[in-house]
Amino acid sequence: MIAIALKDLKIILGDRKALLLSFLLPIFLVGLFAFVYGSMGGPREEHPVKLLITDQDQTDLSAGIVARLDSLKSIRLTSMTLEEARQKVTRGDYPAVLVLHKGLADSISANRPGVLEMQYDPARELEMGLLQQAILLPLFELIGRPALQEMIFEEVQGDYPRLDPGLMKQIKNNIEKNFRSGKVSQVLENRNPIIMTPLIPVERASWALIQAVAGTAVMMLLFSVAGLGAGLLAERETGTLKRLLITPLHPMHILYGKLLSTLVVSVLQLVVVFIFAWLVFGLDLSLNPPALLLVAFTTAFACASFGIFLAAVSTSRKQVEMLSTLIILIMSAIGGSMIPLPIMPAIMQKLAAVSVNYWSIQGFFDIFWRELPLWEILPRIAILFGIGVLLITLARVFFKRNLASLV
Amino acid sequence: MIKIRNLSKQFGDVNALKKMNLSVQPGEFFGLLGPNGAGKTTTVNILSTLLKPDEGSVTINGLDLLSDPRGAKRLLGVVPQELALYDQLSAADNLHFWAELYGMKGVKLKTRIRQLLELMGLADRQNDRLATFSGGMKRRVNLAVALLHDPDILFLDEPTVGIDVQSRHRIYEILGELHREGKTIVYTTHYLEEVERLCEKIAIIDHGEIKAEGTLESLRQLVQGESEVLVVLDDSSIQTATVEPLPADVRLMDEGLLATGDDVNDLVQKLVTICSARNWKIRDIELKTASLETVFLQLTGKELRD
Repeated sequence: MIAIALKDLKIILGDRKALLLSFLLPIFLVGLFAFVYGSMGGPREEHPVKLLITDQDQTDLSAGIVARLDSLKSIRLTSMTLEEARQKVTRGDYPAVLVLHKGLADSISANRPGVLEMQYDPARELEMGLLQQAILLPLFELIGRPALQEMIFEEVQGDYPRLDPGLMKQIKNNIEKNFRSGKVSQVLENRNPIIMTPLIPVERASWALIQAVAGTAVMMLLFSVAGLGAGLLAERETGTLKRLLITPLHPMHILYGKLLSTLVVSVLQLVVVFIFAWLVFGLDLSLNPPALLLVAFTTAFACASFGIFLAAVSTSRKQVEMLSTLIILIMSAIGGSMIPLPIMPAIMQKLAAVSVNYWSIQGFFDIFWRELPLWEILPRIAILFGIGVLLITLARVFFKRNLASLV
Repeated sequence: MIKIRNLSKQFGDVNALKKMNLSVQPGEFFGLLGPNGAGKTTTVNILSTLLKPDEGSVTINGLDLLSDPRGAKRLLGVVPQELALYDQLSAADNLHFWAELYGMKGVKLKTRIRQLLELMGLADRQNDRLATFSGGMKRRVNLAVALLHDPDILFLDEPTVGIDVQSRHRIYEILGELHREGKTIVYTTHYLEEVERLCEKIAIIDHGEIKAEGTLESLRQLVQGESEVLVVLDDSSIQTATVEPLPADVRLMDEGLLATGDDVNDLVQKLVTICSARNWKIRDIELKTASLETVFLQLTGKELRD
């Protein structure tokens, strides 16, 4: 028994590359997840939430609100027109736009509600919670408290018109004191003075379902193609690669043949996943069939190219296994397959753009959640296709370079 | 005809081939022999267009291998040492796949596959997956793949490794038929008796150089003057001999003891003395002409190669 264990340890310790990766991988992933999850519980100032604002009132009060919100470290405020802002929210670039409607100042002084509106993307509920938490108190201080104080005082004056002016002044002071002490603020803080308007109809498919289907499908596809790509190295081990190279076939056609078979399997895998989501969870596949086909195809193409790239850069199946596990887990973690992008730190959200997962998941969100027309999804489709082309180009270079050692 | 001129190939500090020259005539059955690391595989890999030489030229039926590798590939059939086949596919599917890579299709393809399966004695198993085949059957499919496009020249690298005697003899018969059809065959193997049996011309390669080239007879003449005496022993004596130390110039063979030298009388006396001293029963004494193994060892030495 000890002899077997010693022999196995000797073999394991002998493969330095594999050993290094098997230690580096968990360390890296622990670091990555600690960074992501750590940011969720940390101070909001370190990870400000993006918010758009549209000031249609253009009064001193509305300018004061903009300036006050802009001074908050927990928010990164950007001003723009309502039309532009709505477009950005609908396209998933921002979680919400705060609209200061025309007549805000007048409404406040006349104690009329309904002039402050938050138009938001319901897919980003978590960010919305953080946003409301950040802006409610400052907004209340600016517009709610003075108006409420005045309202209460006027009520008292109306009910007791004959009260002694000295007593009236004392009552007014007491009201102000109570507001300053925070007692009233705490009660009112829980009452949202902002009208919340979802920009995307809530009756659409659950964003969580889209996240689960798209995120998991892409991640599993990457694992699947890594195995198929390793088929090239299996051909080397059995000697069939050598025999293929002896035939009149151009060596690059071997690579393209592998790519084609991997692509077919990848497309079928995505088709099966989405049909399952339709049958079991009611995901509406009829929303934009051309866009769905294109996003699915380019996702499969990018993933298949990734599998071929892995096979071309590696010289053994062990290397493929280790490299694929490392790269896929990293891409899935930062690209939104494992953790929804909105809750990730800003830096991670920027890094996400280097992953296939990101562009694919966003493409599926464009179709099922944002319901964008095809022409607006085309840039993401083009990027997925570009990633595929880039990976094939790199695979060609490495395959050519490694060819001599492969036979 | 294969013409190799001043062929050189270096891997790092190792000179795998040193200005090698070799000619194989059309229709010749040519044996390429050499110990491990002698340069056989490098030569076959260059001839198969898998490797490019650093220097020198190779022409195959007048076609320059380096300037027109794709053209040359159509003239060549290669039987690799590995069973370069797909176990998950049937014998017919394997042949179909490889034939398509040579541009074959339609009736021609089907007819050729049928012919080859019959030639290999595998027609009744053509639809069975290769995973269910014995080693010998797989070796025959391996050979059939190389013959699909009916090449003029056939390279065979250890085509009989790890198979039973019957399968080996079947392969010898098939190779004999191909030779009679006029195909040029270049054969590399570690089994010297195969070369003695099959090849018309033999080259012995070592350290990247051709040490000797010619017919079996001409190679034997290189060690002329040397004689071999074989003392045939009974089975129990051979058993005992396997654990007894022997003089350095006496070798234990399957049948008995073999000694090589220039004086037959001395050799006989020496072997009889050894046997008498150990009470080993002599059943026969044979005077042998120098074998290919003797020539091989004399040219390449007895030093072990890794």
